[in-house]
Amino acid sequence: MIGVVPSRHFQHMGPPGKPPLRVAPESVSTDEALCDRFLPDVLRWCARLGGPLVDPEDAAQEVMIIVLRRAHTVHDPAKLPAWVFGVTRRTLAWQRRKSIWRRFIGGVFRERADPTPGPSEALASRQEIAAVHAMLDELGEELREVLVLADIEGRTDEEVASLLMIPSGTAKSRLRRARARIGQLAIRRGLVVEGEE
Amino acid sequence: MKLSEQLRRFADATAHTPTGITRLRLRLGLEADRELSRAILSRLPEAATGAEARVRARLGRAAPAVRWPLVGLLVAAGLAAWFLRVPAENPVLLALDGEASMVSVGEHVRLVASGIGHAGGTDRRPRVRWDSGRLDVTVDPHEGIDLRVQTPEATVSVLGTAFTVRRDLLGTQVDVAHGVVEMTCTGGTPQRLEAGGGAGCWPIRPAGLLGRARALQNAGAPPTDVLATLDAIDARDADNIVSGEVLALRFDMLRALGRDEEALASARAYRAGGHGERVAEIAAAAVVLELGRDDCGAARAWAGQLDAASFAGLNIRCPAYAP
Repeated sequence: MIGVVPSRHFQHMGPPGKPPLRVAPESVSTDEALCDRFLPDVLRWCARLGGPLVDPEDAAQEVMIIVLRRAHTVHDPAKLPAWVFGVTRRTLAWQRRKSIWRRFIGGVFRERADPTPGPSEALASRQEIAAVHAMLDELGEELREVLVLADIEGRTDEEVASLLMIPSGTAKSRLRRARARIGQLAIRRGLVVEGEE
Repeated sequence: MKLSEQLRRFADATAHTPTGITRLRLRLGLEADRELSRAILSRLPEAATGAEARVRARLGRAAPAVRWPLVGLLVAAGLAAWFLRVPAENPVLLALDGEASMVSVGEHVRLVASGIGHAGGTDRRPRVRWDSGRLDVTVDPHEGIDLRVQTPEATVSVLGTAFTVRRDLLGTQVDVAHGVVEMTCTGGTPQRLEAGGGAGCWPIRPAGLLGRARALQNAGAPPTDVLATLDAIDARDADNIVSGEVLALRFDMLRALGRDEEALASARAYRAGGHGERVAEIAAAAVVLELGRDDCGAARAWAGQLDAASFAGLNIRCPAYAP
């Protein structure tokens, strides 16, 4: 939960009879507070869930534009993280569809993620990064999300369920299926999976 | 390798960096660092005329895809011929991440990196990928060193010189201290830059250009310079979110310049595009412009997008029209 400045939006949106949302001492504006709280998460989600053809920074920029413009429509601050994740998911889904479309009519749309590796990929093998992206792509959206949030970002089952707005049992079930599926994909690629050694 | 290890390395490689966060904040127009703003403004061209903007926009446009296979064959053939002639080469793999850190690549190349990038290739054919910040490069002449520095916007090839590459929100800027370099903006034609000269390549993607426009606006750049960047965005390439932001920013800049007719055209396009985020604010400003032209009919066309206070004001100003 973040503390946000009582902007004109939040003051009007609060339920009657309840005190207005309080500002966190270090925040200087609603936009700053939202960026401080969500920008790192959004950037990581775009890098991990977007796939190899989506530029994480471009996608994160679009997500944050929506967040900054529409966060005032979320009445309950406790629901903000899940709402932001939903915006990220929808933006990435659009970006992935666009990138697939452009592979077939590449000359019409010029925008594309730069295929050359970024600086972080200098030391981690390009092939390794691409292999993980390929395995995540094959999982499909539902299983990919739970696996990234749980096994790559280290979130608990309850945190994953809260972000995805699904019951905890559903999150656990999807995670089991995601782990089983990625295990099969990893073995196919010659990787060692714990329990299979 | 274990799957768990590969996932851990993937997590490390895709973790956000402080520089990435700062860059995104600049793209969103949030940074108010005066020093940074002055640095950005000092890099603006002396005369950002419409013609220059159009040339820069053309340089930013992608080349026809059919050229690349031929270019790739020629480059590969040239590299193969060159490889057969030169002495044995040692592979290079370096991460460049620091403040003014000096790195030697082989005997004849020296890099001073204040930013983020990495170097690969060999000591005789170094290939540097530069992501952000400043990179000073010195290459000993007449040693047959074939160095290339690449950013998302530009490729710089040198054969013995000293130059600086800077990449930030505004794009890639190359300045030559000694010798000659050839710089090609992505999709453009090669430019030859000599000692004392320099040139820049703008971002090529709509989101990157929007980020450049926001950085300029936040730094207090003239509205004409912000508009020149927005003009370089091809509307066909931008998705709905970026398109809406571009139209809203165009409206702001045109209004600041007193170009009311063009501002109103941007406002109407924003409304017609179904963008909702700033429609009330833009509608209120558009009504003011329409009323300034004594056009109550055009002002009433915005009635559906106005908030209560603005609507009441419109009714007072244009009492001859029924609600």
